[in-house]
Amino acid sequence: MPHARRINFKHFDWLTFGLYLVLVATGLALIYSVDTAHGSGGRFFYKQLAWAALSLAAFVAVWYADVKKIRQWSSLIYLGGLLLLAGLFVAGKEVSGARSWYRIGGFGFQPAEFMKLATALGLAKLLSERQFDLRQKGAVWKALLLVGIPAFLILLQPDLGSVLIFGAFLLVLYREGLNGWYLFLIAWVAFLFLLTVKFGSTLILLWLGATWLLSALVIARQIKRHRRYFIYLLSLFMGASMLFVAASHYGYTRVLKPHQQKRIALLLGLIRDEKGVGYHLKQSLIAVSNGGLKGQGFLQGVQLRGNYIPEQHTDYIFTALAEQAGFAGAVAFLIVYLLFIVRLFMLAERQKQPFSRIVGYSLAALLLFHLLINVMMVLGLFPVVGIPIIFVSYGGSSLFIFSLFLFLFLKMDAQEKFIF
Amino acid sequence: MSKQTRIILLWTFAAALLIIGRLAALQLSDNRYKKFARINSLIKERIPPVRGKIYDRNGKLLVSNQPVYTVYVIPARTRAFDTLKFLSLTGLDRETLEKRLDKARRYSPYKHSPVAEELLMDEIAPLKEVIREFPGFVIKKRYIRKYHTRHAANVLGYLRTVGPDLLKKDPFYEPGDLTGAAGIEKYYEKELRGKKGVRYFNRDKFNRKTTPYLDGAWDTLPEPGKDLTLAIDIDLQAFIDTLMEGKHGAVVAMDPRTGEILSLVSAPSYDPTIFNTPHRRTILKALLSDRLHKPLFDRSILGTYPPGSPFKLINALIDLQEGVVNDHTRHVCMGGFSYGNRFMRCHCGAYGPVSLSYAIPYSCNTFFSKSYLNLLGSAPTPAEGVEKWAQYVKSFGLGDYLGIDLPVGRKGLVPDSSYYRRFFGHNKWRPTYIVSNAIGQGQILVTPVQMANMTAAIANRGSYFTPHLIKSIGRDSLPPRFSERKHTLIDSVHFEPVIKGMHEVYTKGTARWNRVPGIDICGKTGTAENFVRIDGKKVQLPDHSIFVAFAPKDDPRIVVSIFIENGGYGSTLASPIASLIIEKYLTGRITRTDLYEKVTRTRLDDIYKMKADAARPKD
Repeated sequence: MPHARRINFKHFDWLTFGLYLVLVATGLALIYSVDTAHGSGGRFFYKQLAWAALSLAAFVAVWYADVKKIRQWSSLIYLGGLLLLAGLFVAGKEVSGARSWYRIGGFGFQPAEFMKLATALGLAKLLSERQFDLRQKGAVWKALLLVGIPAFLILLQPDLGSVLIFGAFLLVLYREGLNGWYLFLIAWVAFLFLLTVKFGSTLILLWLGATWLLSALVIARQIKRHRRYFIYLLSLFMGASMLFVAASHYGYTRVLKPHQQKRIALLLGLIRDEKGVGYHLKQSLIAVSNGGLKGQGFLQGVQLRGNYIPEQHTDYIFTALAEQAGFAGAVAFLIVYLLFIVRLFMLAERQKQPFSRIVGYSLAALLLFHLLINVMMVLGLFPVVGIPIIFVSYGGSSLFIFSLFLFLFLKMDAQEKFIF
Repeated sequence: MSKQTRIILLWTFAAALLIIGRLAALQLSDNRYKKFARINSLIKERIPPVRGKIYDRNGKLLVSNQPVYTVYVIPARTRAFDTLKFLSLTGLDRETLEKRLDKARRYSPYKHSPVAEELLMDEIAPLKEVIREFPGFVIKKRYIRKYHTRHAANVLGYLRTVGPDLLKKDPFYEPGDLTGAAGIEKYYEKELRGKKGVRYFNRDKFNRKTTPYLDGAWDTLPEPGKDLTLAIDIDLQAFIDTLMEGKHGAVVAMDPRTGEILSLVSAPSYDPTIFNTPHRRTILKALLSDRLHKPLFDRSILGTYPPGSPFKLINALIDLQEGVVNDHTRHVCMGGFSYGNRFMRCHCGAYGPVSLSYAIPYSCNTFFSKSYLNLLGSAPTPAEGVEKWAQYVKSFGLGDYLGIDLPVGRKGLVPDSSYYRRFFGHNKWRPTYIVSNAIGQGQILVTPVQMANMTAAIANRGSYFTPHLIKSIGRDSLPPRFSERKHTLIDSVHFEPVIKGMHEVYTKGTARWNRVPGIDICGKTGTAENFVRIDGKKVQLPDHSIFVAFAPKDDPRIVVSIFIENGGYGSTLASPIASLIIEKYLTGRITRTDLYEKVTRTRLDDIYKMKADAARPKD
């Protein structure tokens, strides 16, 4: 195939690319509004514009690249990402208590962003091995380890938000054949943890114990003798749950830092704190409320102009949207973004090569996690964690890496069609 | 599409619905966050109004306003500065400055905090010129009072910073505001303070003002306080102050035709111009701690004294009204009056029958005592008798707050039947027990302003107006209660013999040495005994010198009441002072400069010091 790298223009998925451009433009407009209202003189806007230009340059480069070759490089990229993460502990720059950045000249670089791409590639490589089968126990552990190692390194920075994002890869594993019970277990664990924090370990332990006893009794009466192992399975599950509740209690009170405890407690309505952590949330909710149906208009809005919201150009960019564009604008934005994600899921599903399918699926799942966690956090439905909305929030690393990510996948998609 | 993807998308859809529901709840309903947005958006800045000025009855400026300057710091805006220069310009020492800067930083890096004491215009001038060399420091101006007179401190009062109680009670005030703490400043606080203006600004999260809200469409200008014109004649007040030098006591001068108080002197007082500085607290503290002179104690309205002989005038009127005394009544006075086993001396010098026309100018104790016993005897029981008497006395405004426009006052005491029931027990007293009331020496207590009012009621032949210090409030009319004529229970016909007697006090009686040529003065001397305990022993001090007078006789334009603590006989000090005041007020000058010199030179400091020492607890 002498011309394997070149693709037909019409085989490229311009719809996805168009949605991408809409999102980046929206982000630029919002960053511009925050910049202007806060009087930071376009500092963030022009930087983001530069990164957007750089991303488009990457698009041109990818257009002419033979992206299929990237599969061979995947393991190396993954290992390189791990090295960069580990290097943070040596050469990273500490910003507000976390070592998440490299600083080279005037530019900052977040290896965690790069690691999201690297992990996706690594995972795609691993899962697309011919003999690899997620229904085997060893394979599951291998895959979880591949996702877990970078997540653990990021947790050490510490950057809890990015660790949560790595949960997106569970969706990929699920798609690739991981038993749904794993997801259920993880959800169950999270649920138990929150219950324990909210209501205290004693009450939850009592509740679990009572459920255990009652269901054991019911099962003993209903089920035939040779299926009694059900009871043992249930007992195992309940016992483990109770152990976990005790561990959660310990973990929450002893392992989590006070500010992290506060964020969780705030979400669960255990404390009211309008000066500290709660202040950000309150100001954020005020901004969203103030948007009303149609919004205050571009560059307008009390909360925006008053510079009340911390990190409004990054993690709280959604408040700038909600205040200026109102309910109508916020919902329209969510619809566009979700369409974009659904389109990516569909593209991933139509891949014939497992490798490109997994890459696409990882991209869609990561974008989904970022979007949902961020918006829910801003609206007080999720604990406060520092996660941007990809393509929209200010941040060079994430814009560039995810643009590259998107272009790689779109090129794979187009190239595949060209071949067959 | 795989089954798993469909499940994932289903959950995504559910999450999206949750988010949209939350957005709808926040954005489409009116909730508390919307209210916060409105609060967040504005800074309401109140502009203090200019406090009203105070003038005397002749339009002389007594109190106005002057700016004082405070240096504030906004810690976030400070740069390195020439500390030595700053210290020398503000008069601070390095330690204080550092402490205050530290405090300011802890309070808020973006808000104003005061660093230096308040300074007057000429004190701040050198710093003001170079304030640009000290970024982050600003000078703010506010107004305090400026007094243009050294007199009438007790009338004018002073200002203080509002306390927490008033802040809570009255939304007008903000911390740091000044409010009237005494005198006219306190009583007419609402009229003087005016109305604050408001300015609205947009604000940011650091509470910094940005731009005027709606370009100032909601803003209002402050409304200045109303200027007050007092009834006080400041020149007369100053003149009386010189007469009262070295004496403790009070002088009240009133215009009986209106109830306007021409002078309200409490001696000793203080010079109000000492409050022409921002450092009120130390001054106030010094004034409060002066136990000897009690300069903040307004004796004219708070001092309660036995009225002494001038009270005989009231008794004469009551006796005439009740018919126990008429033109033909005579009581024999043989240099005193014995009742029970006691004896009351009399200095009238009659040694024979005494009529009312003799008893008033020569102040015959015997005549009034016997008449008083007859008065009480004319009722079925002594209790009813004293009750009737007390009602007459009260109709002269004694025994009650007069309604004078000052924030404090004393009722004094008019004993009535219930008082004596408590004092002696039911039916356990006889008229002779309380016969001292006849000569104003019993349980009865009056304030100097009550005495002046009583005299005005006599001068007006049976009526009076509520004594007041105010003449006009801005362009408003005075409250109607000040122009409402009040009547005593005595018919006006009975006043003539008493006034004739008061006139004879000057023509031939106790004040005959203090006649003023060309002016018909009516007066009455008074001498009140008083005692003090020194080392457990009851020691009699020199008497209080008392005098009441009005003039001219037939068209009274001024009444005065004078109390001089331990001044001796009424005729030694109070009487000459009264005559000097009346002469000065009616003719504008004094002819008897030697008398004036003699009075001003009289100082009673030794007696007061002894009294103060006796009153001080031994340590």
